[in-house]
Amino acid sequence: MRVLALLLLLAACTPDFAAPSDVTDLRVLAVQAEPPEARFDPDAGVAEPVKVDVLAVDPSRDAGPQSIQLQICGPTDSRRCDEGPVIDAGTVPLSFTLPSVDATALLANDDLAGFGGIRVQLSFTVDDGSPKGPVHGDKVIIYSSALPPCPPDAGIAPSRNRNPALTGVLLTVAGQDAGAFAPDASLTVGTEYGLRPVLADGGEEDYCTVDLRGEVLQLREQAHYAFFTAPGGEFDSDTADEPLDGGAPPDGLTRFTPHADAGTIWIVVRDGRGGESWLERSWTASPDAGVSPTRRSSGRGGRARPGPR
Amino acid sequence: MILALLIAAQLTKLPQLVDAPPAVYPPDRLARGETADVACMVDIDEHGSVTAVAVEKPGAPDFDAAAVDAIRRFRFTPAEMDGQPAAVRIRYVYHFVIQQQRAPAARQDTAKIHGEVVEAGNRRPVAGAEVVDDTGAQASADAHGKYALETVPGPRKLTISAPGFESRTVDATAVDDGDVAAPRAWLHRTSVGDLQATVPGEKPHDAPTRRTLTHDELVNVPGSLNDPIRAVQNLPGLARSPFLGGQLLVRGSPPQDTGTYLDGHRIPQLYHFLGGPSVINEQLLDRIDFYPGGYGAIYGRNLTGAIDVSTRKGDSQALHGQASLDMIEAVGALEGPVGSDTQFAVAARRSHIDVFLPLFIPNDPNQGVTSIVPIYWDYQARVDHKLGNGDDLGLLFFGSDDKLTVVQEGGRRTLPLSVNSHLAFHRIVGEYKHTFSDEVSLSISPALGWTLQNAATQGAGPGGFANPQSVDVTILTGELRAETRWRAASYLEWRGGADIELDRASYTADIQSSLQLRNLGIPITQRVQLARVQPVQQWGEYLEAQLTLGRLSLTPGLRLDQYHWRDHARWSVDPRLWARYGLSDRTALKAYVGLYHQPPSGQQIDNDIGNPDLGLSWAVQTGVGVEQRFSDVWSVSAEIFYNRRGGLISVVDPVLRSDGTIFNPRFQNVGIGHAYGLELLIRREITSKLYGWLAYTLSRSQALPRPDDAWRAFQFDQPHILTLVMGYRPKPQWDLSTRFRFVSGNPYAPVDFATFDADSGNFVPTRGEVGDAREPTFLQLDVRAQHTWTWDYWQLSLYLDVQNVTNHTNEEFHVYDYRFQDQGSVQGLPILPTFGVKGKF
Repeated sequence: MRVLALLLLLAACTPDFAAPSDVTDLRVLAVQAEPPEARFDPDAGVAEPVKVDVLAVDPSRDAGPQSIQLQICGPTDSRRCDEGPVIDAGTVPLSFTLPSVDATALLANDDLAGFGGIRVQLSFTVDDGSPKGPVHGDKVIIYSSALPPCPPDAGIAPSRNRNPALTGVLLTVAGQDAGAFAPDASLTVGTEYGLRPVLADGGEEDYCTVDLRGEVLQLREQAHYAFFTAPGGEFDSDTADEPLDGGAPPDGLTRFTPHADAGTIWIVVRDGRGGESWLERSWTASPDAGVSPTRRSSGRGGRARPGPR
Repeated sequence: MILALLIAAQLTKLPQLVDAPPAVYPPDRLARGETADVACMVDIDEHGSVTAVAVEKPGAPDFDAAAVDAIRRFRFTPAEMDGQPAAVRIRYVYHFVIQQQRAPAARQDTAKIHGEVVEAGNRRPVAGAEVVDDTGAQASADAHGKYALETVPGPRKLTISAPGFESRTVDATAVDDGDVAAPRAWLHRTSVGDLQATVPGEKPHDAPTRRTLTHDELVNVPGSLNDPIRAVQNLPGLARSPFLGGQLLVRGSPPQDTGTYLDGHRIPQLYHFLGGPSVINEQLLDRIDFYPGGYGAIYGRNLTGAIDVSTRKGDSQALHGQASLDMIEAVGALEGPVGSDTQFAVAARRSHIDVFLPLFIPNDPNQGVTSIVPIYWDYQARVDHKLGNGDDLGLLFFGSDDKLTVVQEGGRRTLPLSVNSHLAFHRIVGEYKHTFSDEVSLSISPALGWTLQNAATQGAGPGGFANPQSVDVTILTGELRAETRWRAASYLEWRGGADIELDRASYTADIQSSLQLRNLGIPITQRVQLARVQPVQQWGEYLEAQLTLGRLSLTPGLRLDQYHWRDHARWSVDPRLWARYGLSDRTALKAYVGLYHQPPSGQQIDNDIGNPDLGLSWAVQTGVGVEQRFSDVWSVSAEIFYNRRGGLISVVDPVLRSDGTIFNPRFQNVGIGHAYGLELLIRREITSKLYGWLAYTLSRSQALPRPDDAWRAFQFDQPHILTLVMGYRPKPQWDLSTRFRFVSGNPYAPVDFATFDADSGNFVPTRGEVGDAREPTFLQLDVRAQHTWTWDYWQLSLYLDVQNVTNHTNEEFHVYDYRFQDQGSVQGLPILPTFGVKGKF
């Protein structure tokens, strides 16, 4: 109790660091593997191909070539591969099919012998020549041969994980519905907009798994959102969870305020077990009041990055 | 002379003057009618004989010589330390008073004057005060401050004096064959600490290293927030806890490895939260015994140290009280006799910091609005009664309550957060002491307790942990301490006893529990609602012998403990031995070795969040030391210790069994650690006006949580801890003190690089080991000034305590931004003044 209280006082005395939602240089915001859980045939030693998309942005520079290098290995504490060949996966767009994976070898090196699936760590480095240097990241892809059973009274069948999808973003102003945040929306400078991401149907899956005690469980995913903005806008919350009841407060899950005349935001959704996707929205803003945030034919676009929908 | 900080012994009886042949008045001075007061420092041996006299405040050379010559022929009853006759030094003022010569009266008329001598401000009797009238008749005040003077009828002028007090004159008219009452004489102190009575207390339990503090002179150590129990943190062997924290970090071990006791019974916490004061009012405090390690078999179930706070009986002679008020709290206390055989003492405290705290909490749009409302209070009530057969009976009620409400809303980077936290405990402790004979005594102390702990949070954690959660724990406790002492021979004393604690913890929880999954990304939680009862029984028995063989004292001991929780049972056998050898009257050597065990906590053995199969942690403690008294004002104590620990409880990863199933115990007893160092305590008391000590600790503490890990420093491993405390009393009304601390910065594990984990969306740092880097050295100077006004019936004190008076910037913790590129530090406390007022009667 004392530690918590002191930590809260610390929060008031900590240095003023930049917020994770403010994107000012090269950042990797999300990595999607399709599928996030791939099939693996242990007898044939063949794994299903996995397509990987990387959301890498850099508002500080003009759209320049971004290159990505990969290494594939079993999971490490540092999240970087200590051994294995470095694969040059190309440049923009950062979308590629994962090279064939020796899942059999990785299974042999797994302390838990593939319990819950064989874990393959994809360590990557994205570089666009930024003076701050490249960004290192990792993504774990799961290869499963057999599906975990479901409890007898579960109303679902065993299935592999799928990526959640976002269909759009809803806006509110002062708690009142303000329509959808369409691409190239027109906003009002200085107005605080409540944002509510909309998850596609089936975005929060019911699934079955086995825990470390050997118990078969039926669980439900809970979507977790992360919000990002290029310079010119500001979020008051960096992250939010999908409400358990599917509802949302009148002022959305986060509040966004444009301060410039144009910008871009990204919203990433994760399901907590490796599935993720994102949505990108460019916007323009003017000091005039009462402008609709829906699509206008003469909108100025931001730096659009193709990404999965 | 009473030492403010005793290394080993405690004064339990003052010397009393029984024979005082008068001095020869210097004839020249007598002829001129000159008087003088000569203050001397007098050494009295263990037989009551004066062995040395030194003039401290001279009158004149001839007066001085006459006084020294007379005092050398004085005889006293011996003083006692820990109940044994001992040599002491006192301050004695010899008054040269002119007697009026009278012609012999025709008849020997006698008259009596009786009166009372008390100390101004608190009405305590001044035992041994000297009463001399203008005819030369003399009397001494008894232990109650009362005197009866036989003198010649007529108006008399009585001069009343006592060492350490200003003389006072009262007028009374003696009547022939009568007994008149003189006005009460109120004496004001001229210096504090001379012959200051320490209430004789129970002889503390012996140990090779026991650092005892009595509260009278240590309540004024700066930075202690007017709390003598905090003064313990200025002793060697204790690391500095951050901010105003009261964590006891003894010899490189975490707070849970040191037991805190009140009158021998374990209490959940010693300090209120948020750097608050101790849970015991300083007025009820008799002494604090701090055992950093190597103690005997009476204390068990701790890996490292023990602190036992002893309360005292109420005043047996008169009603006294005290009230104080400062920016943080209001405190009151009352004590006194009820009849001739019963005493009581009560005290209570309540904080009001919640009124002032909002002034110090920043609120800005970026960080959000924060409201923190801490409220704490505590109480103690003690009743003591002496039975007709001489047995002592006592009853102590005490309790403490801490409540904290934190609400944080809005802000760019903060999730809405609310925390409600409550910790309360109440105890009833009985005490019975019976003396069978000079050789055999028995003490029994049962206790009943009730502890409540609940917390309700929302937003306090990532992902699922941000959902509303609550936990309520209620623990009923029954304890029994019993001890028998038997002096079998002049060289042998046996001590045997029991230390039993039976707990019944019932808790209900509505929490987000992390599922035991092989996770990817953030932990997946599930709402868990449970109601559970967990009984824990801890039985301890011990036997100890103290052998005195000339200059050598040997104390072997054995402690047995049995632990039961649900269907698990554990036991431990702890042999311990310590020895003390007096090389001379001024030099003593000591050494100790012992085995200590500690059980896991209730949370660690829980079925759902812990591992009920956990075993005991153990520690072997060893040490050697020397105590040297260079003079009556200089003393040095040095000790080298080495502690080896094993069976420490660490978080472990799941492993694959040979049959293909997964074993996930969460915790296991696989950690080991060691701590070693040197503790130095140098103390000098120049005069009663000046006191102080220097404590220095040089130590290292490291741990190896799991066999595959690398050794890392303990979180609060501070190789150098230097504390200098000095106090100065230019006059009894003024108390000025200062404290200087120089402490190594806390270690931390520096970040080598960080990697973006796409599954969680967080950056994962790769760090070195704790200890590869350190915060800058901690430096702080605190000062305190207190002024006391004394009237006849009461006193008023005003104090100002300024912590970090130079506003030095200290760095407490190292922090990084979200991607571990930018780094910074959390600053320690800035200059922090507090002031308060206290009244006593």
